[in-house]
Amino acid sequence: MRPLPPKAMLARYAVLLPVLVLVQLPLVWMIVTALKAPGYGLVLRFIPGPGETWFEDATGAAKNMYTLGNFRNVLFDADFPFWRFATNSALVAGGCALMTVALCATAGYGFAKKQFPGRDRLFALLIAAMLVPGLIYMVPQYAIVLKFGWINTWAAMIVPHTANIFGLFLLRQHIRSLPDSLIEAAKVDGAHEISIFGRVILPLSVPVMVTLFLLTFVGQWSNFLWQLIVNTPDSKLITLPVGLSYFQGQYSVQWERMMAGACFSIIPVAVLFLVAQRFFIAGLTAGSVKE
Amino acid sequence: MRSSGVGRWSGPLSERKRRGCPDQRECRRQPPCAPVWQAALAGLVRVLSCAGFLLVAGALAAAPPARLTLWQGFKFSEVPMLRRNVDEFVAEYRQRTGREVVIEIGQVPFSDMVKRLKSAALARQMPDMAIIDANSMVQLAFGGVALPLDTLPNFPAASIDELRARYVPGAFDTNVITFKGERHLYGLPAQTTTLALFWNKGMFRAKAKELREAGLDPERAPRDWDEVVRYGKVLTEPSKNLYGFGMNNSFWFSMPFYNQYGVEIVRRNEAGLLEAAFRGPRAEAAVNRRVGLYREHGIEGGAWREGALDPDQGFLNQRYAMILVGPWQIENFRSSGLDFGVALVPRVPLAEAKALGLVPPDADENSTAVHALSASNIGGQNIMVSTSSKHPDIALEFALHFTSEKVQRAWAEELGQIPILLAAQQNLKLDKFPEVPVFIEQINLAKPLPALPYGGVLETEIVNPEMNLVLQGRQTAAQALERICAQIERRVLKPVNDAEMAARAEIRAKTPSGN
Repeated sequence: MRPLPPKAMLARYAVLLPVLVLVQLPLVWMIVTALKAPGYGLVLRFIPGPGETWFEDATGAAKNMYTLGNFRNVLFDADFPFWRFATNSALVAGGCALMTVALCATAGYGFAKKQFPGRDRLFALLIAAMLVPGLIYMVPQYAIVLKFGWINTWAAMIVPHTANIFGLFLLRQHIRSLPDSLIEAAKVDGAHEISIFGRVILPLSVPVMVTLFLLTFVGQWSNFLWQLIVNTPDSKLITLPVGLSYFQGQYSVQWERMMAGACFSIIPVAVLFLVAQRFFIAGLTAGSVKE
Repeated sequence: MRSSGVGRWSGPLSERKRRGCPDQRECRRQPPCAPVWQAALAGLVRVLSCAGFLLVAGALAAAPPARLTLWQGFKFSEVPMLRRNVDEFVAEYRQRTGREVVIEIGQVPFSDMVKRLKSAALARQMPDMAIIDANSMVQLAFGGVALPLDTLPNFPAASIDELRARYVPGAFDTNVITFKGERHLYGLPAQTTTLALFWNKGMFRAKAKELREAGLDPERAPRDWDEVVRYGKVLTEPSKNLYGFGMNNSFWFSMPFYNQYGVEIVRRNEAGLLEAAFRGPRAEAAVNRRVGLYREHGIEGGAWREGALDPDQGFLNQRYAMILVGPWQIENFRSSGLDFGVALVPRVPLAEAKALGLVPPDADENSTAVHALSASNIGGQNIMVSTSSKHPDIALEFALHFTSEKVQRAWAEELGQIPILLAAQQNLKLDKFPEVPVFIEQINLAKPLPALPYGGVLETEIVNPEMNLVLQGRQTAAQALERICAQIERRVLKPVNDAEMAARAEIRAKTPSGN
């Protein structure tokens, strides 16, 4: 690709810079609030005024506007088991994402490459179910979980979210775009169904599966309401979003601590995206061009 | 015949001696008189008794402790104090009864407590006790989740009203609910709170000269709403985004106006059914007073508008010189270095109060009736016992312990809370919390929201939208109140009255005719 002339480059950055600021503002605001001393979270000043210092000084004569104490409190407060919450969130999000990918890949292969009576109608029915808002399913799902005696269990936290129609659609569309000749060639070579799926379809679907994994992981990492209701308060399986909401009191919110917790909570997701971004972009564009 | 045999073989040794059995061998041949048999039997009985006693004692000692769960949504800074209270109760209960109790504390996000309790009730996993928003109590009572405490055998008073005399009346009343024709106490106040006037001393001082010229004292807060207007006009500078007053449009935050003007939201009619009463000259005067601060006098900063700085943030950033807020913001304001004071909510001006018949015609500024005009609202949390608790008696004892004078004093002196027990309000050491005495004075003048289910609907779907239109000048107070009453009747009271009627019909059907 030819490099752009300097003026065009300048114009491009002039457009992109405000967009960048707009996109990054919430993130920066979160970090700044997390760094503010208690009481300053909602103060719309960022530079210390008279009688204030930036950080704690040894004399303690002036009020410090910023502190690292919120991060320390979140990580090491005995009443806020951050590490347990984070581990639970990782297990729920990871487990759910893995199971979703496994289910959607097999189902997607079936819907894309297998012939069975009513296939397209069943698929259309499943797609139509996406029109129903997810919250509608909450009560029946809760009733089922209750019936199974799954309250306060990993099963309740993970299993109901593994049936992901969007994921099925994503993988079905991708697998459909794979040439049938590949499958036929594998069959000529003597491959049976499991081999075809494992050695032909899956390797070619890695970017889409990674994308689905990431999307599911992010969705479940930040899932609040479901994880709140399937765990009683004495449960050891409380997740991070539920834990962070403990900073919300009856009339007031400890914004500084809550934002410090939120800063930590985005780290795993950010790392995952950084590691898997090339798959993610490839996965989103995969299937966009039909054979 | 076992019974006669036992009778023959029984009898103490002294009795046999009295009957005269000198020959021991003879006695051995005659079991009833034989001392060896007697001794053996007595020994056996003793051994069996001891074994029985040991078994019973062992069983008692090995009995599992009574386990109770308590769900709460306190702030992290308050949880250690709650744990201390639980430990104290457990030790005191063990000492008093010899019985072990374990109370497990579960943390629930405050805003999700009611939602969480409802799903727990469905799952039959209710805690024994929960500390919940005072204004949500009625939902749980109507839903059959909260246990009427006055039906328990260890209820500590002869009547609900006798117990009420010990507590902050407004806070206590949030637990007293009439349902199906019966009035019961469904919980005890655990924490109470109310609104008071916060004023920015720095902003007042910055305008000291102008305030003095207007005949106002810059070193004190206004005492009535006319004074608020006069102070506000001096302090307001729209070009600099500075306003004398900031207030949102929430029903709960507006309750001080309605309480001060003696407005009833609902009342019971002669048939004992609820009807909307949120109308009439007093209600209109209350709405006009609140709305007039923005529309007529321009001293309220429009904090109720979408996207505007809310009152707390506006006060913190020195844009609003006065706001109504509760003690929960004291720590925040103080930490940010704000120079502020706390005063009673400004009351209805005396002349207006007399014209509306709120005080006797001869009342003066110092009279009790006028002082009582500074009525604020009630918030906070109540402790309830669930209907599914296996140990409701112990749960009630814990609730009483939590509301005891000793515990309430500690919460006030160490955490700056308002004691809910009147006895605990006396002689407090509040050096660390100089604002709390004002809140104590204010809370005793406060009144709760009407005890209605669908409180959320009442606030967010009925009252707030209509009042928003009044604030925007798109309808009058009278129009808004009529529309609110119609909606309250239809959406809130009808289901309650229908349930009441159904319950009465059920009671009538069960009652034998002629009674």
